[in-house]
Amino acid sequence: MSSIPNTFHICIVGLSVANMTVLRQLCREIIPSHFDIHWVSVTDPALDFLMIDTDFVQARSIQNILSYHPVPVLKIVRYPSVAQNICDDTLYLPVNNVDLLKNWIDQHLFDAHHQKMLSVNTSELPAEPTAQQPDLHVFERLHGKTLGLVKLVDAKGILGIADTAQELFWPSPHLSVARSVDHTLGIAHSTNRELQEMSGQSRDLKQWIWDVVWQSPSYSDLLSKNDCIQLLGWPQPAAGQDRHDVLQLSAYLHQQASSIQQLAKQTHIDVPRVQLFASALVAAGLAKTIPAKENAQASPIAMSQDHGIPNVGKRRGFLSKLRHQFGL
Amino acid sequence: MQRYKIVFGGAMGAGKSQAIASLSDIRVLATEALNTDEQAHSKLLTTVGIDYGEITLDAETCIGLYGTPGQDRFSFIWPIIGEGALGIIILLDHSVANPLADLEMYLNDFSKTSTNLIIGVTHVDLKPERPMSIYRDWLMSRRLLYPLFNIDARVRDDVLLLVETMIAKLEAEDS
Repeated sequence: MSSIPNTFHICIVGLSVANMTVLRQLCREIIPSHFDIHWVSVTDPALDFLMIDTDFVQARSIQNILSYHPVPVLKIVRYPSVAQNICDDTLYLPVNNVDLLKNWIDQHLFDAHHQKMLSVNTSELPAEPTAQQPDLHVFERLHGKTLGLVKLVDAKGILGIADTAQELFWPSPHLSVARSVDHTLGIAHSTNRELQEMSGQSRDLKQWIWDVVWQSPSYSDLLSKNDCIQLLGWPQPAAGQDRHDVLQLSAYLHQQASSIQQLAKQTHIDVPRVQLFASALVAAGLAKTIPAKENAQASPIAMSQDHGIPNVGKRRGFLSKLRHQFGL
Repeated sequence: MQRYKIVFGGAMGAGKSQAIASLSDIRVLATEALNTDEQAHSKLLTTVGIDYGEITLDAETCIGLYGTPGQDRFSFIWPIIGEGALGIIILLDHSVANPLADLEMYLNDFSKTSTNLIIGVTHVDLKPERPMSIYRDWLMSRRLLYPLFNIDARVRDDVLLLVETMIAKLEAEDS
């Protein structure tokens, strides 16, 4: 809810800078000058009005926000396809008829604003946000190579820019190494100019996704403990205890696809930690979920071979000494 | 005395000698000569025989670290060196013209000898515009699964990541 009654908090998501600039100018022309306009992010609790590229409107993160913070939504289509400019709460660019946009804003934004004022006057409490769960939708989109250059943002700010075709990621220079993310993670189109503001060194996109989800405990419930996963690529762990667990879990999964519960039992690692590991793998596209019945058939390389160590007991002792030698 | 071995394979300049030196308890025995193949790599000296380092675990246990000669004219000797190894670490130089050709060649040769293959990609900083995904896509398109990491062969902890992966795979085999 807006804390300043004569201010509209508006967010534009998923559009190019050029289209965003045009829409901002039109809003400023249409909305009477005694109303201030604050351009905010989609997670801003004061949000009054959302204009969003139609490709992004069904994103789970957007739907989550709208579920507990319903505001007027004007979907934007970037290509002209109908004679009318606005149809079914959808605006087709370019804007040829400003009056249609003005009417839509009058009907939706000012009516909503009027209701809000009544609500303020009667001291109604705002709706409580529902518990929000992150989902895989954003990551699935990032694995689509045709998306191009996109910006990753969440409630805390910009994380960086991804080139989905090249699977490269440029972190924001202000991004902490140990940064986690939550359900507010979303994506928007980006530009080469914004890319120049990121740090110079690119990272592998899949590896970055794995790192950030692995550090985000709220993602541990993405998969249930009965889900079976098949490894497609190894994540590269950081040093420390994490490295031991990540390599151990990856090595078991390399042997054979497994349910999270089985994996936790085999490795003696807690189920929630294994759930988070598996969620990070699937989010990064380094593993996929498979039906349980395929579990036994899905292991590509599960062969033992002679390494010159006569029996399993002796080999375990030897490997333990080798770990000790290197402090692993 | 029980003797085991870990093998480091890969092209000239990929960092095999550095990796062995970062782990070895003894001074690495190397057979270096002036590099006359500047088209393949610009480094001054290259290994023409086998690099050898050693890790002594205790009075009865020793691990030999073997680096194969990088030039493919020595490929006949790679499977001989790899035979019976605990694992084979393949180092790929990311900055060369066609690293995928190297990946294919070394995997073809070493996969006949060992299933415990680990891939380390070096010199990534020299070609940052080339994504790591090229290796992953290449492996996935052939339904191959090998651990693959971006490492700096001069950094001991990076080399230890490859060794620890090799150990983790052997432990998983025993489970």
